[in-house]
Amino acid sequence: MADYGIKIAKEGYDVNTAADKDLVYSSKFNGMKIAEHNTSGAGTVLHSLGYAPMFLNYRKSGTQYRLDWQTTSFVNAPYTTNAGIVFPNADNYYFIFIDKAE
Amino acid sequence: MGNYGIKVTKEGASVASTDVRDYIIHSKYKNLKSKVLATDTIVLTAGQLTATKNIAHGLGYAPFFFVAAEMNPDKWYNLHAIQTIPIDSDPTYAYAISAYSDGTNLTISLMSGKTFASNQTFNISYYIIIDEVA
Repeated sequence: MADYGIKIAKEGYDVNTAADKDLVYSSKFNGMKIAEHNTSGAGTVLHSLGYAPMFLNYRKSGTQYRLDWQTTSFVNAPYTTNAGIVFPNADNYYFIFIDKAE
Repeated sequence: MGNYGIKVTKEGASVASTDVRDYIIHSKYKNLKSKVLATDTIVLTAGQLTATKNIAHGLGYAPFFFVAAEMNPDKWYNLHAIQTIPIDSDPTYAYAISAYSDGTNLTISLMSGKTFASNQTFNISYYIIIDEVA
Protein backbone atom coordinates (compact mmCIF):
# COMPACT_ATOMS: atom_id res chain seq x y z
CA MET A 1 0.00 0.00 0.00
CA ALA A 2 1.29 3.47 -0.80
CA ASP A 3 2.22 5.71 2.12
CA TYR A 4 -0.95 7.65 2.62
CA GLY A 5 -3.91 7.57 4.99
CA ILE A 6 -4.45 8.22 8.66
CA LYS A 7 -2.38 7.05 11.63
CA ILE A 8 -2.81 7.98 15.27
CA ALA A 9 -0.32 6.70 17.84
CA LYS A 10 -0.91 5.87 21.46
CA GLU A 11 0.07 8.58 23.91
CA GLY A 12 3.84 8.56 24.36
CA TYR A 13 4.60 7.08 20.93
CA ASP A 14 5.88 8.85 17.83
CA VAL A 15 3.41 8.25 15.05
CA ASN A 16 6.27 8.13 12.55
CA THR A 17 8.06 5.27 14.27
CA ALA A 18 5.44 3.47 16.37
CA ALA A 19 4.88 -0.22 15.72
CA ASP A 20 1.52 -1.06 14.23
CA LYS A 21 0.36 -2.48 17.55
CA ASP A 22 1.06 0.86 19.20
CA LEU A 23 -1.24 2.77 16.93
CA VAL A 24 -4.66 3.73 18.19
CA TYR A 25 -5.87 3.90 14.63
CA SER A 26 -4.39 3.18 11.21
CA SER A 27 -6.20 3.28 7.90
CA LYS A 28 -3.65 0.74 6.66
CA PHE A 29 -5.67 -1.94 8.42
CA ASN A 30 -9.21 -3.12 8.18
CA GLY A 31 -11.47 -2.43 11.13
CA MET A 32 -14.09 -5.04 11.83
CA LYS A 33 -17.36 -3.38 10.93
CA ILE A 34 -20.61 -4.33 12.63
CA ALA A 35 -23.59 -4.80 10.34
CA GLU A 36 -26.06 -5.80 13.04
CA HIS A 37 -26.17 -6.18 16.82
CA ASN A 38 -29.27 -7.77 18.23
CA THR A 39 -30.74 -10.62 20.22
CA SER A 40 -32.27 -13.87 19.05
CA GLY A 41 -33.78 -17.06 20.29
CA ALA A 42 -33.04 -20.39 18.66
CA GLY A 43 -33.50 -20.21 14.91
CA THR A 44 -32.09 -18.44 11.88
CA VAL A 45 -31.39 -14.72 11.63
CA LEU A 46 -31.42 -13.80 7.96
CA HIS A 47 -29.06 -11.22 6.52
CA SER A 48 -28.81 -9.81 3.03
CA LEU A 49 -25.05 -9.71 2.64
CA GLY A 50 -24.84 -12.44 0.01
CA TYR A 51 -21.90 -14.16 1.71
CA ALA A 52 -21.23 -15.85 5.03
CA PRO A 53 -20.16 -13.06 7.39
CA MET A 54 -18.08 -13.26 10.54
CA PHE A 55 -20.12 -13.04 13.70
CA LEU A 56 -19.72 -13.08 17.46
CA ASN A 57 -22.31 -14.55 19.73
CA TYR A 58 -22.75 -14.32 23.47
CA ARG A 59 -25.26 -16.50 25.24
CA LYS A 60 -26.93 -15.34 28.38
CA SER A 61 -26.74 -17.56 31.42
CA GLY A 62 -28.39 -15.90 34.39
CA THR A 63 -26.62 -12.59 34.65
CA GLN A 64 -23.62 -13.81 32.68
CA TYR A 65 -22.91 -13.42 28.97
CA ARG A 66 -20.53 -16.04 27.60
CA LEU A 67 -19.02 -16.41 24.16
CA ASP A 68 -21.01 -19.21 22.55
CA TRP A 69 -21.66 -20.56 25.99
CA GLN A 70 -22.03 -24.30 26.15
CA THR A 71 -23.34 -26.47 28.94
CA THR A 72 -21.28 -29.24 30.42
CA SER A 73 -23.29 -31.68 28.34
CA PHE A 74 -22.31 -29.70 25.23
CA VAL A 75 -24.65 -28.12 22.77
CA ASN A 76 -24.30 -27.51 19.10
CA ALA A 77 -22.49 -24.41 17.91
CA PRO A 78 -24.04 -21.59 15.87
CA TYR A 79 -22.82 -21.11 12.32
CA THR A 80 -22.94 -18.65 9.47
CA THR A 81 -24.06 -19.16 5.88
CA ASN A 82 -24.57 -16.85 2.93
CA ALA A 83 -28.23 -16.56 3.95
CA GLY A 84 -28.15 -16.18 7.71
CA ILE A 85 -26.79 -17.04 11.13
CA VAL A 86 -28.16 -20.26 12.56
CA PHE A 87 -28.51 -20.41 16.34
CA PRO A 88 -29.26 -23.91 17.65
CA ASN A 89 -29.85 -22.56 21.15
CA ALA A 90 -31.76 -19.77 22.90
CA ASP A 91 -30.64 -16.50 24.51
CA ASN A 92 -28.26 -15.19 21.88
CA TYR A 93 -26.75 -11.70 21.86
CA TYR A 94 -25.00 -11.47 18.54
CA PHE A 95 -22.90 -9.21 16.36
CA ILE A 96 -22.88 -9.76 12.61
CA PHE A 97 -19.88 -8.20 10.88
CA ILE A 98 -19.67 -6.80 7.38
CA ASP A 99 -16.41 -8.73 7.07
CA LYS A 100 -16.51 -12.13 5.45
CA ALA A 101 -16.06 -15.48 7.14
CA GLU A 102 -15.61 -17.37 3.89
CA MET B 1 -4.15 12.33 26.29
CA GLY B 2 -4.33 15.83 24.89
CA ASN B 3 -7.37 17.05 23.06
CA TYR B 4 -6.46 15.90 19.58
CA GLY B 5 -7.37 13.08 17.24
CA ILE B 6 -10.45 12.01 15.38
CA LYS B 7 -14.03 11.55 16.52
CA VAL B 8 -16.88 10.42 14.30
CA THR B 9 -20.32 9.93 15.79
CA LYS B 10 -23.19 7.76 14.75
CA GLU B 11 -25.93 9.42 12.74
CA GLY B 12 -28.04 11.56 15.03
CA ALA B 13 -25.46 11.84 17.81
CA SER B 14 -23.55 15.01 18.62
CA VAL B 15 -19.79 15.04 18.29
CA ALA B 16 -19.88 16.79 21.67
CA SER B 17 -21.39 13.69 23.25
CA THR B 18 -19.59 12.42 26.33
CA ASP B 19 -20.96 8.90 25.79
CA VAL B 20 -18.30 6.92 23.94
CA ARG B 21 -20.98 4.53 22.66
CA ASP B 22 -22.16 7.35 20.39
CA TYR B 23 -18.94 7.18 18.39
CA ILE B 24 -18.08 5.09 15.36
CA ILE B 25 -14.45 6.18 15.63
CA HIS B 26 -12.91 7.79 18.68
CA SER B 27 -9.14 8.02 18.61
CA LYS B 28 -8.96 8.25 22.39
CA TYR B 29 -9.66 4.53 22.31
CA LYS B 30 -7.69 1.88 20.51
CA ASN B 31 -9.35 0.31 17.50
CA LEU B 32 -8.77 -3.32 16.63
CA LYS B 33 -6.79 -3.43 13.42
CA SER B 34 -6.93 -6.51 11.25
CA LYS B 35 -4.94 -7.75 8.34
CA VAL B 36 -7.00 -8.78 5.33
CA LEU B 37 -8.97 -11.99 5.33
CA ALA B 38 -6.77 -15.01 4.64
CA THR B 39 -7.76 -18.57 3.87
CA ASP B 40 -6.21 -21.96 4.48
CA THR B 41 -7.23 -25.55 5.18
CA ILE B 42 -6.95 -28.06 7.99
CA VAL B 43 -6.75 -31.74 7.09
CA LEU B 44 -7.97 -34.60 9.22
CA THR B 45 -5.93 -37.52 8.01
CA ALA B 46 -7.68 -40.82 7.27
CA GLY B 47 -7.90 -42.97 10.39
CA GLN B 48 -6.99 -40.10 12.75
CA LEU B 49 -9.15 -38.43 15.40
CA THR B 50 -7.17 -35.22 15.77
CA ALA B 51 -5.58 -32.59 13.57
CA THR B 52 -3.66 -29.41 14.27
CA LYS B 53 -2.98 -26.46 11.99
CA ASN B 54 -0.31 -23.89 12.81
CA ILE B 55 -0.36 -20.61 10.92
CA ALA B 56 2.72 -18.47 11.49
CA HIS B 57 1.77 -14.81 11.95
CA GLY B 58 5.24 -13.28 12.36
CA LEU B 59 4.18 -10.71 14.94
CA GLY B 60 6.25 -11.87 17.91
CA TYR B 61 3.37 -11.56 20.34
CA ALA B 62 0.02 -13.29 20.79
CA PRO B 63 -2.52 -11.39 18.69
CA PHE B 64 -6.28 -11.20 18.72
CA PHE B 65 -7.85 -13.21 15.96
CA PHE B 66 -11.10 -14.16 14.32
CA VAL B 67 -11.24 -17.63 12.78
CA ALA B 68 -14.02 -19.49 11.03
CA ALA B 69 -14.04 -23.03 9.64
CA GLU B 70 -16.32 -24.67 7.10
CA MET B 71 -16.84 -27.87 9.06
CA ASN B 72 -19.91 -28.90 7.07
CA PRO B 73 -20.57 -27.82 3.46
CA ASP B 74 -21.45 -24.08 3.33
CA LYS B 75 -21.65 -23.84 7.14
CA TRP B 76 -18.98 -21.65 8.75
CA TYR B 77 -18.35 -21.90 12.49
CA ASN B 78 -16.56 -19.38 14.70
CA LEU B 79 -13.61 -20.77 16.59
CA HIS B 80 -13.36 -18.26 19.41
CA ALA B 81 -14.55 -20.83 21.93
CA ILE B 82 -14.42 -24.59 21.91
CA GLN B 83 -17.18 -25.52 19.53
CA THR B 84 -19.14 -28.74 19.31
CA ILE B 85 -20.22 -29.26 15.73
CA PRO B 86 -22.37 -32.16 14.53
CA ILE B 87 -20.96 -34.06 11.59
CA ASP B 88 -23.76 -33.60 9.06
CA SER B 89 -22.86 -36.77 7.18
CA ASP B 90 -23.13 -38.77 10.41
CA PRO B 91 -24.92 -36.75 13.13
CA THR B 92 -24.25 -39.44 15.72
CA TYR B 93 -20.80 -37.90 15.93
CA ALA B 94 -19.42 -34.42 16.36
CA TYR B 95 -16.27 -32.39 15.95
CA ALA B 96 -14.77 -30.30 18.73
CA ILE B 97 -12.62 -27.49 17.44
CA SER B 98 -10.89 -24.51 18.98
CA ALA B 99 -8.21 -21.95 18.19
CA TYR B 100 -5.56 -20.04 20.10
CA SER B 101 -2.68 -17.70 19.41
CA ASP B 102 0.81 -17.43 20.87
CA GLY B 103 3.87 -15.43 19.96
CA THR B 104 4.49 -17.53 16.86
CA ASN B 105 1.33 -19.09 15.54
CA LEU B 106 -2.39 -19.03 15.25
CA THR B 107 -3.19 -22.66 16.04
CA ILE B 108 -6.36 -24.55 15.21
CA SER B 109 -7.00 -27.78 17.05
CA LEU B 110 -9.56 -30.27 15.76
CA MET B 111 -10.90 -33.40 17.43
CA SER B 112 -13.30 -35.68 15.63
CA GLY B 113 -15.71 -38.11 17.24
CA LYS B 114 -15.07 -40.56 14.43
CA THR B 115 -12.40 -41.52 11.98
CA PHE B 116 -12.79 -41.37 8.22
CA ALA B 117 -11.59 -43.71 5.51
CA SER B 118 -10.18 -40.80 3.52
CA ASN B 119 -8.58 -37.47 4.34
CA GLN B 120 -11.08 -34.76 5.28
CA THR B 121 -10.12 -31.23 4.26
CA PHE B 122 -11.83 -28.23 5.86
CA ASN B 123 -11.64 -24.65 4.66
CA ILE B 124 -10.68 -22.07 7.25
CA SER B 125 -10.59 -18.30 7.09
CA TYR B 126 -9.06 -15.94 9.55
CA TYR B 127 -8.27 -12.37 10.44
CA ILE B 128 -5.11 -11.78 12.41
CA ILE B 129 -5.69 -8.69 14.48
CA ILE B 130 -2.58 -6.54 14.84
CA ASP B 131 -3.41 -5.82 18.47
CA GLU B 132 -2.02 -7.95 21.26
CA VAL B 133 -3.83 -10.37 23.50
CA ALA B 134 -0.60 -10.55 25.49
